[in-house]
Amino acid sequence: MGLILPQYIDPPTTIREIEFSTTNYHEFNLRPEWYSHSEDISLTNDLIHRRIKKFKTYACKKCRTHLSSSQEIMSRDYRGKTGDAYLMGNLVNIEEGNQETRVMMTGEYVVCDINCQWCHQLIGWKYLKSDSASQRYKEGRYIMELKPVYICE
Amino acid sequence: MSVNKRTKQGTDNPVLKTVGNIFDKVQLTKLLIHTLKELGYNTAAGALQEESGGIQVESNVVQRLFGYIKQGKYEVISFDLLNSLSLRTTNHDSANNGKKVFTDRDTSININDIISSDLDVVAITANFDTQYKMFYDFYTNTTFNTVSLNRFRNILEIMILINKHFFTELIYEVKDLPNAVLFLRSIIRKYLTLWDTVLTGLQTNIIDEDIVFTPEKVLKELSSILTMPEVVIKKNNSTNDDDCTETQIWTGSVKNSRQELIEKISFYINPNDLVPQGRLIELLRQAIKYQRSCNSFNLFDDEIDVDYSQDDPVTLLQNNISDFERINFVEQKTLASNMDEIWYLEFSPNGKYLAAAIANSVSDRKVTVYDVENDFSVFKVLRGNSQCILYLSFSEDSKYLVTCPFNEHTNIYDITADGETIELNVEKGGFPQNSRRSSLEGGKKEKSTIETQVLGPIDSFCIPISSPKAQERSGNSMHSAGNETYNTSSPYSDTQSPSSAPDSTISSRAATDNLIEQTENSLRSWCCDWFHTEKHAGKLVIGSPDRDVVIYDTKTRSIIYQFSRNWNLRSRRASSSAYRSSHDSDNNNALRRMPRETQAGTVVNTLMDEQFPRIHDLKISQDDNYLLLMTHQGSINVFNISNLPTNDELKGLDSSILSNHYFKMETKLKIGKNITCISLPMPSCENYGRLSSLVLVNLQHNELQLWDYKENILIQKYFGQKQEQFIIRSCFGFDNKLVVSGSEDGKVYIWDRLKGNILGVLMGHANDRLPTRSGSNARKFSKNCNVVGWNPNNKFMFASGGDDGLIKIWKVVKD
Repeated sequence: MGLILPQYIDPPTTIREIEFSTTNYHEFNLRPEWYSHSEDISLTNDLIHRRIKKFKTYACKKCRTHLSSSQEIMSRDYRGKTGDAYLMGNLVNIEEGNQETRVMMTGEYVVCDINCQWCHQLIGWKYLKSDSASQRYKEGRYIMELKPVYICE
Repeated sequence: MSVNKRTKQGTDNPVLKTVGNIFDKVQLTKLLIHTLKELGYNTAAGALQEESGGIQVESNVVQRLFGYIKQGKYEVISFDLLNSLSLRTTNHDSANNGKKVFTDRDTSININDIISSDLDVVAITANFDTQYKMFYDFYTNTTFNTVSLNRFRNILEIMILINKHFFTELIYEVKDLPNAVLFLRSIIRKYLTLWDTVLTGLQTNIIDEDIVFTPEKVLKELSSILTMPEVVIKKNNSTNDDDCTETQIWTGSVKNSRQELIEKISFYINPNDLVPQGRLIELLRQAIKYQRSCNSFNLFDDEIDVDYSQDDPVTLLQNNISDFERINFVEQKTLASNMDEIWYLEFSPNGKYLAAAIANSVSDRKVTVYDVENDFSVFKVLRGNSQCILYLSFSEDSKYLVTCPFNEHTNIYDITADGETIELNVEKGGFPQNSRRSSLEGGKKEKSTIETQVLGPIDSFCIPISSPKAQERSGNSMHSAGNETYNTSSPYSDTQSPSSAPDSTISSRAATDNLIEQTENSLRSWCCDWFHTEKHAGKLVIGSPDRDVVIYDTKTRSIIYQFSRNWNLRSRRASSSAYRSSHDSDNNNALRRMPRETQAGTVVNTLMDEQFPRIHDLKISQDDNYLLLMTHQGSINVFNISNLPTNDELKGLDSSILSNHYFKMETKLKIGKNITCISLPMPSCENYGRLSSLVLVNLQHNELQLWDYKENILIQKYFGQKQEQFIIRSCFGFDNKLVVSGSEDGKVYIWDRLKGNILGVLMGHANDRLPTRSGSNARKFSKNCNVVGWNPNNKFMFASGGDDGLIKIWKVVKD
């Protein structure tokens, strides 16, 4: 396995980039947490700058390959194997491990572990399938543990 | 010669207008007569001239003009005579300087060999004066179009050449200085003024400084002859030794200098009236060159242009197509002592060493230096990199090697130093679950150990984050220079005992954890290159994907320049002006647009938009004038770094003087796709001068491109190799005639640089695979050939490295 050309996640530079993140949240009637209805009406310069300031890039702690950004955070109330974890809409520069079935607090899921593509550090897991319909929104989403992750400036 | 036979048939049948229905018979006969004369067969030439019915190589007018010049009868050269000359229609700016005449001077033209030194100075001067009036009248009374004006300019230039020559004859031969001064003042100056007016009328921009034949330069030259004739002669003689055909003012004798004048004038004359010298030879050379280029697998004998010697086995009587001299590539050796995937390898500039970096995350001895001359035995092993190494670079003197690991200190090694001797187990290589090697080793099934030396880094440093907030946190730990004793400053050195390989796995892992804490405030270094020239020796440039490039001086062990700092200053200025200009243009049609739309397109993040790009690869040109930075956005930024102070200049200066230094970005090659690697041509070949501005880039989707970074143009594309997601590296080779690249299918692809056709696909790393590493997460193993490298000192040797952990040494052979 050679060196994979990494992708980067950079703070948005235009309003369009702020509006469209890589994940289509409307599909499940979900909004990323920074998105509020009051903002929907008018995007003033002030708000834009506030959003850019809030923007954070998450990277692998070991090799600092970019993994995701604060725009992709769907929920902060998760716990992984090593501690706190986030539910993320999308991650990049990762490789998926073997599929397995795990029983968790909210039910049984088919998941696979995800590793950093460069240094193969364990990052978290990805939900592939859920039994209960109420949890189906997690399918295709990722759990990113916070311990192996580094927040870029 | 088949051409010859045909002409004979042609002369038998005078009705036939053209020979072989292509060539004009008259032209061909002229060429033949001319060549016969050049070969010295004057009688045969005369006979042919007679038989063909008096075809003359030179027309009457040309003969008359040359005859006058030979005899020194300048007084009869008139405007009408020159005006009746049939001239070349092409532009002569390049033709009249720099074209090399390679025929023997004495046999070329023999109209009249009588040389008379008796010049009727008064009559000649009077004639030139009246002729000037004719020129002037003609110029003022005629309405010119561009073509006729060009023609007039050429006639005028011939006249000036004759004038100039007459002037030099006055000085050197007649030694009549007062008359020469008078002549220069009253006549040549008038001609030069007229010439200048004509040139302005033509709007010819003389950009090239090297062109000697311009009004100002001629005047300068002539006046300098006037003041000190001897000096000028000397100077010109010395330039002659260098074999450059500049304007030679005086060749010593009247005969030679007049011949020179005739040669100069002949550049202006239509080839129908005067066959250019060595024309047939030139045609034959072109034919042979073409014949050889027909065989695309023959890259060996282009030497015809380099040394065109007498004993060159060029045959004229049959086509030069040799099927037997095909280029081919054979595997010379396989180096199997590496334990993991090869991600980078490089030959040292003197061709003696080959350094390869492995991706093994277990051992910290990641770089192996092989001795090329000693059958690729292991020369040194370099330790001190606990993370995977992305990049290696040899200094120009092949003494130092710098390594760029994932996320760590950049380490510099002195590979000539002595290190601790260890016994390296070739077969097992310290990697426990490696059973694969035994099959590769063949007969040597027993464990064979060889002695080698392990070296630690002599210097190790990291790039500090340039933002002030981060610097506060990192404090003074941002730069930890190594000591004279090897690498005591490195955080893992004390936990690492070099003789116990299995134990090192644990300790290096522990060290890695420490290291993360330490390097969080530093930037990653992903690529580097040393300066090549002596004046910048010991300096290197390191690029980071965290938006920075630094220049590091190994002598003072300090970072002397950081590109991102001054970039911010510059970009803020540029972006604010760009913002303003985009605003201005918006104002014009602001009414028509929805306010939201205009806003969406505009850049809102003025501080972030023009950030320093993420650098994935960089190269310094061989003359240290250009720095090429490969960004992750699919462009190559070319910086002019020729104004970087040299080592001597830096000695006296405070290093902070550079903080306000500004390097200009010359060009930006917009390649548009993701680039994985750039490489520059090998400097060691003869044609390097022409190729020095080339750059080869690997693009992410199955493509290589060849660019010229000075002209900013795409030159050639190379297809066939597979490259979707991995970083695959390529190189030039075989005197830069070939382009070589790795591929994701494990093969090595070789192209003809000029034509872009594939010359070879080598099954280098396609067969063998590493066993899956232990662990539940089964990885999909690919079989890349990651990197190729050509030996700069041996144009027949190159190496390739792949995911199977093998380094293969290849050899170029004639098949």
